[in-house]
Amino acid sequence: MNDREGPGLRTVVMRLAEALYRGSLRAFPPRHRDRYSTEMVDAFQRELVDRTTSGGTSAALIFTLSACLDGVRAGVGERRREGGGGNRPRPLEGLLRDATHALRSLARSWIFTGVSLLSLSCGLGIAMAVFLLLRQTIEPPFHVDEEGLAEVFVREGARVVDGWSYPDFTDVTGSVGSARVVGWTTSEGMLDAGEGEAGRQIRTAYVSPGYFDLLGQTPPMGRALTAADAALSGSTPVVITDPVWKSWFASDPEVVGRALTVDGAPHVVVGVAPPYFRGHSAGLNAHLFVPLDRHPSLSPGASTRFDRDARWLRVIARAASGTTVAELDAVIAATMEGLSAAHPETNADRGSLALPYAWQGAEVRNTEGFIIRAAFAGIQGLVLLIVCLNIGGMVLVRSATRERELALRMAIGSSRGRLVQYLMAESVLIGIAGGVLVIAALQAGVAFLVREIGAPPQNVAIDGQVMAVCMGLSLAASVAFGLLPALRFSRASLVSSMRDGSGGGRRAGRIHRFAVAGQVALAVPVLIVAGSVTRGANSMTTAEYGVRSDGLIVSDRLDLAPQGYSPSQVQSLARSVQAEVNALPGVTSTTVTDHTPLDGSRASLVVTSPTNGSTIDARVSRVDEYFFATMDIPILRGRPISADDISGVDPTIVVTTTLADRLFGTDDPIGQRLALHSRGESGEPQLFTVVGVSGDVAGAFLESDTDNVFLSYWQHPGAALTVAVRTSSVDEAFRTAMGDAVVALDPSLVAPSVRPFSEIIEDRGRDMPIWSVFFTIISGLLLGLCALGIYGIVAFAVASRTREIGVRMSLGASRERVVRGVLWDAVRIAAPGLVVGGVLGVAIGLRVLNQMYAQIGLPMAGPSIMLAGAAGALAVVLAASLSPARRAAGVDPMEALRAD
Amino acid sequence: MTAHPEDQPTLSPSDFRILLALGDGDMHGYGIMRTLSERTEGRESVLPGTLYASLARMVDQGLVEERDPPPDDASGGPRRRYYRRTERGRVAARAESERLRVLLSMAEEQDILPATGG
Repeated sequence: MNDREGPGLRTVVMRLAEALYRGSLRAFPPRHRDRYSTEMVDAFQRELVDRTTSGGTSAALIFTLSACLDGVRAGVGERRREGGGGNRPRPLEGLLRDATHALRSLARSWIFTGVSLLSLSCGLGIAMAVFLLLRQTIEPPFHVDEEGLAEVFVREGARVVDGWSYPDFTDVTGSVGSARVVGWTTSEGMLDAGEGEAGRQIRTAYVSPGYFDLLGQTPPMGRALTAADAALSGSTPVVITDPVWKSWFASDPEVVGRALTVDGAPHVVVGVAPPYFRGHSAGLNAHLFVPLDRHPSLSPGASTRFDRDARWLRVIARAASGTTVAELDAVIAATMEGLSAAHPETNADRGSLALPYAWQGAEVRNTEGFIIRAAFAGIQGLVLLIVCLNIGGMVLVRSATRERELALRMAIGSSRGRLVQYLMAESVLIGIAGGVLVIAALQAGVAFLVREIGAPPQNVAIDGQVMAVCMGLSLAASVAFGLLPALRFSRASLVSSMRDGSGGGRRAGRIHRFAVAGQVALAVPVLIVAGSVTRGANSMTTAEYGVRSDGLIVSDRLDLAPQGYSPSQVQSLARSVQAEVNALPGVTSTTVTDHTPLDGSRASLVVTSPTNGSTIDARVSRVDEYFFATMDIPILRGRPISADDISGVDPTIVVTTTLADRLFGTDDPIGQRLALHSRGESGEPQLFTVVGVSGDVAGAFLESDTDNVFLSYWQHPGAALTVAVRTSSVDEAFRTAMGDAVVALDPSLVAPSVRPFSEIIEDRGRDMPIWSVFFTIISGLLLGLCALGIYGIVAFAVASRTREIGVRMSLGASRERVVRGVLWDAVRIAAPGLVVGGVLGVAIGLRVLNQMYAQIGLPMAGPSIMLAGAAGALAVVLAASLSPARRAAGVDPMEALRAD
Repeated sequence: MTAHPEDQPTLSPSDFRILLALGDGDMHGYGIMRTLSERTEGRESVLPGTLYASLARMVDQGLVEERDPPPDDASGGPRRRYYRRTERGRVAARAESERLRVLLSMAEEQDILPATGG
């Protein structure tokens, strides 16, 4: 170019332009570049000089840019022409071709495909089960916007309680400006079927106007309850829930306007709640929603409408747009201060407390909810990680054994991108198939639940969100386990793979070891958690309940606050009921209490020993002097609650033996003092004197070893009444007579249903919490998952070492020795994983179990479970390796040596 | 066998221009670029990338053949290939011209183009 050199800047520009243009020629295929690049650059240079001479540097730059773009475009076109024989391949054709090849390849390798699909489906199934469980236990119903939603409590001095009086509620409702306040309560009743037919016990939720709107719920049929319903006369308008619509009205599409009778009163259906909605909080489980104004406590002439001491209502609220729950709390608190001044005789020491709403109740604060979510997400992540390791390991080994094929593809012109696409096609197809399988399984599972328990658990529905999450997880997993092998083996060197006749050898071995060890390290802690939960779930049906159930009959709990009963009236009724029922023929003992064992609605209090500072959350029951004898709960030390434990006397308490051990250790608990207060309550707690230690009693989920305390019903009457009877006759006539005896004392009460305690135990055993079933299934799936993964990896690893095995056998190794060798190799590979997994199991398993068991009350895991987890993983490694080891030992050495 | 114009596939615009620029003589790549630009008074041009991709394609299709440079080639630079349009290439160019002529007639009938009177 000497004769074209010009001034300095122009020279620099031209050289830069030339460099750029040479770079753009990289778009051409090598063959074209080799043949034409010299002439192309020469033509470019000549034209560049002409343009520069006629148009200056700017023209040169424009020409350079145009030429470079033209070079890239033409080069890409030339590549396509050379690659497709002259026809430009369409992207979709390539994808379809790869998908077809992948399908054929997967069909040929049916073991690999089956194991991969099964592993992915099991892992994905577990992850989705955990997702649905989380939605059911901690997530609010669909469409409930938690932002700004609050539960509002009443402060009574230092205590915080649920109940509001109706006048206080209406005053607060009128004072919160654009915030919205809703009152609600529930009661048990009887849905009348008509002449000669059995009725059905139901729960009615009484809600003030705006309840559905506050919670973002729109009935798919009919309408929600409105303020205008209060003014309607005649039948009570009711919104029924989906289970009632399906089971009572046979899914009648014309159900709006139909009549039903509840506790003898006519009702008319005005709407059907969304399928998943049975109330705004866990355990509400309403069947019907009725206007609050139709509650008996607000009937014309009822004094509770004006009684500020009758506190029976619960309140939820939504802060005004742009404000927070804390600001709402301040507004309501100010109103309560005004009421304190205006009504000192009733509201003197009364305030309010608004807490952010939570599905499980405002007690489950953000921290606990976060921990639960994190624990569940951790389980999902662990399971999917195991799945990806499983399948990824198999894909790596599979790719390693296909290295020659892949190298040949590259040699005949396949680009790296095409190879990656080709290899990923198999993974993506497995991912799609796995996602579809799991969605189908979930739908079948929900249908099964509907058949068995009559309705899907709230929030458990296989909707668009669930399907999207399932397919998303499945495809993400397939990319995770497919991408690394695809990238790794798409740059396979032709020379090394052609030279290496075994098609993988050492490279596959190192990857194999890592995959198996990593999987074992993850499996051990998961096995520990799963084993503990399974043992805990099984203990539910075999536990000692602490109560003798034969001859014991228990009534349903009568909630007396909505009936306007004051504490003294509750006590009076309780004594009368006790006397009336005890007089029935065949009765040997009668007790009244507010909660019997197995009653899941018992509140918890914080129990503290002022002596040593020990603190425990314990379930509280208020019992009379006949409770322990009637239930046949042994008093191990001291005495039971007695008739002398009445108001004005030093408060007494009986604790269970396990709680006594935890609080007092080896010290004698009799005579010791205990402080009781609600969690979150400030101020001086109430002090009690321990007078007795009883045997342990079962909790709501049949678990033994729960912490219970018993207070005197006569010192601390609750707002509820349950009657339990030890009797020689448990027939239907007796049970009716028992219910009638209660109604005879107050005809306004609904006769409680009465049933044998053994029936309650059976029901609890049958109606195991959803999470118990889930964890049992999860633990079984986890073990299966690990076995599948390890089997697949070992099987493919054995296949890739066939020649080595053949050499050994031809040199004299016995079949048994080959089997032992493969098993020993598998153990050596898994050993680091067992050690790491054991440490992880102690560290993570304990922490997760602590949190889970604090929430659901299952027994803790002990050292035996920890060891069993590690031993279980080892057993799975050996069992999964046995079959491939035997297959390896069955190979003909001559065939193995001839294999290429 | 003589290729008939009616049987010829449609040429791409760049291929057609290059075939016309080649004429009946031998020409190197840069010469094609210059000829096309000069003969069309700058209205038509082809960049090196497109040029050599088209030449490679047409060589494969038998429309153009490569030739050794003449003895008097004095480019002063690297040895350049020369290209010549083959008979087949000529037929293909003719076929493309016939197609364009029909389109031109339509344009003239509609007064989009003034009639050439030819």
